[in-house]
Amino acid sequence: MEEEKSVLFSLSIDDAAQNHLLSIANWNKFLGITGIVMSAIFTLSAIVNIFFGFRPTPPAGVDDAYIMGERAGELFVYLLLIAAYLIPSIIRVKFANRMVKALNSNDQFLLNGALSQLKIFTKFFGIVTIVMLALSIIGIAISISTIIR
Amino acid sequence: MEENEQEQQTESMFDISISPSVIHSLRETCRWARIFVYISGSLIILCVLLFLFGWSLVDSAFYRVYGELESIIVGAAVVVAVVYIFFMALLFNFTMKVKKGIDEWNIQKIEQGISSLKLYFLLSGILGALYLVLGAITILKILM
Repeated sequence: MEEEKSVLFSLSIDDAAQNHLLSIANWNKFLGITGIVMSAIFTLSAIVNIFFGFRPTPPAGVDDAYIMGERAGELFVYLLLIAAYLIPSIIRVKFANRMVKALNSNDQFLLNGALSQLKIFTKFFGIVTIVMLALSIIGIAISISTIIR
Repeated sequence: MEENEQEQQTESMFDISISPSVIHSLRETCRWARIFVYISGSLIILCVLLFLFGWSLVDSAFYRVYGELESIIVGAAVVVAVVYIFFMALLFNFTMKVKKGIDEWNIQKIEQGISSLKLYFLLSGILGALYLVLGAITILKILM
């Protein structure tokens, strides 16, 4: 009797909600796969640019170690950008796959897992936004202090 | 009568429901989405205020960089800002509706929130597809 009451008063995901969630999953799958493909293209272009790209002749007195350091810095920035694009794309695809499976098989465990991936995806963007804001504020502060001097 | 009730109970037990794990995930998703919306929204508002109150500075800076294309670039920037604000509004609607729905145990509000999120991802998908098409056209033009 108590189990029946808890089931009667629990929220279940009806057809309308299932359709919305399926649509969200499909679009996220598309965006995730697009993101992965774009990350691969960006990785290739980064490798070509770093190892085969045009470089102006370094000024006199600049040794190879400095040039290697410059390229290492460039590579690090590229890797950060690729990671910032690739990681959320992979999370999106995982969310989409689990959600579609969950809705097709009525699996509560898979639904929990899918929404957990959505939570991680949103958290990632929230953290990236906070970091970007902090860097922007630091950049503006440095620019203002440079102008004042 | 009893058999129908038992059938309904069995159906309910095998339906997917908004379990505590789902509620936790949805709450966290709403929280981080709200952070993203507040920060992005603040940056957009700052840009709009700079645009409105520092118009002469912005105008001369754009003209120096883009020359005759300045009006097109400014127009495109305004369109991008409007689209971005619309996206943030959808995301904000999702966070508020789902949060209220969970607090009030109201499935309609949760559905409205999920519907907003669906629209957000749908429009993102359309923009993503447009971006792919434009990118492909650009690459083809370069290769030819």
